[in-house]
Amino acid sequence: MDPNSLFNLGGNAGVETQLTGAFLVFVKVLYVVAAILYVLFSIVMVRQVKIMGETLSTSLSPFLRLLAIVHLLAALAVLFLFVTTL
Amino acid sequence: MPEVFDGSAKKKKSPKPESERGAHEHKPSRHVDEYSAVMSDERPSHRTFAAYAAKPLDTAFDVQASSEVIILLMRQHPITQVKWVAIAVALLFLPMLFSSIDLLGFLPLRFQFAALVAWYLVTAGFVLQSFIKWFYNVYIITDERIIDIDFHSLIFRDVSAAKIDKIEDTTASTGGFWGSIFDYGTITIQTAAEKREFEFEDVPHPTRVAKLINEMIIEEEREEMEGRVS
Repeated sequence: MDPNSLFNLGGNAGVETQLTGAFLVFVKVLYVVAAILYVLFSIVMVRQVKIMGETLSTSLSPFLRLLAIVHLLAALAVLFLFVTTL
Repeated sequence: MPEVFDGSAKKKKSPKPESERGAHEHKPSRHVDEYSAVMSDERPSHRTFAAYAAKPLDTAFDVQASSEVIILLMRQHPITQVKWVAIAVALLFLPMLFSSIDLLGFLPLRFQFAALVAWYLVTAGFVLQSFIKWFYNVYIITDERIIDIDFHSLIFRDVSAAKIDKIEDTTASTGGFWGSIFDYGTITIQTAAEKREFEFEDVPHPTRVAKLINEMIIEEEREEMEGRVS
């Protein structure tokens, strides 16, 4: 799909640029909101893995807890990436 | 005064000393290998990912009594997890399809890269969550009771237990093509406990497990008759 066709308002380059900019800001907000929701999900996952590990303790439990924390850190890194680079 | 009204006679009665009591009252419980033909053939399991772990080592659960021994720990048969594994593999390769049809081509490159990063993060989260759900949804048989630990989602946990002597009926059912090929099925246990029915879903070797439960019920009855401590 040609992005310019979405914002082509009869050759007015100024309005076109403004709309493209507004659209990108809108997309950025979507990205950031999705990343925030994902961070919340990751926090719940860390908490739940901790509870699960306490409910059933196996030799793998500490490793799974570490994985959940790494996943949360990755989610935070992605959120940071979206906020700073987009 | 007739003796029947003499309360002091009752008070004089003291419990028998330890040595005078019947020896059968303090017989310890037998080890599962002594009474279970199913378990005597099984070696203690070291395998962390096992769906059928007999006498598992390095495993405990939070409501476990100090004298309680885990005899069998079960999870759903790994073949029943193929669905989410297939979805995960598809999620891994889907971005290649998207790039070939240039789905996000209308966005600047940095947005496309961000979408790719987010996609793989979500895929990783999906795999982790699915694995954790399988790993921690377990069915445990101890020498005292059966326990069903369910994590319905990331938020809801359900732990149910019933003592072996409360079990009334056990049914093992294997159905379908894959169930027959890989020997897995569902065990339904009717109890007189608060939770009336336990279902061990898609566990390996359902007939063997039902046989073990029956052996344990018999042993529990024998313990009760002999007055052994359990």
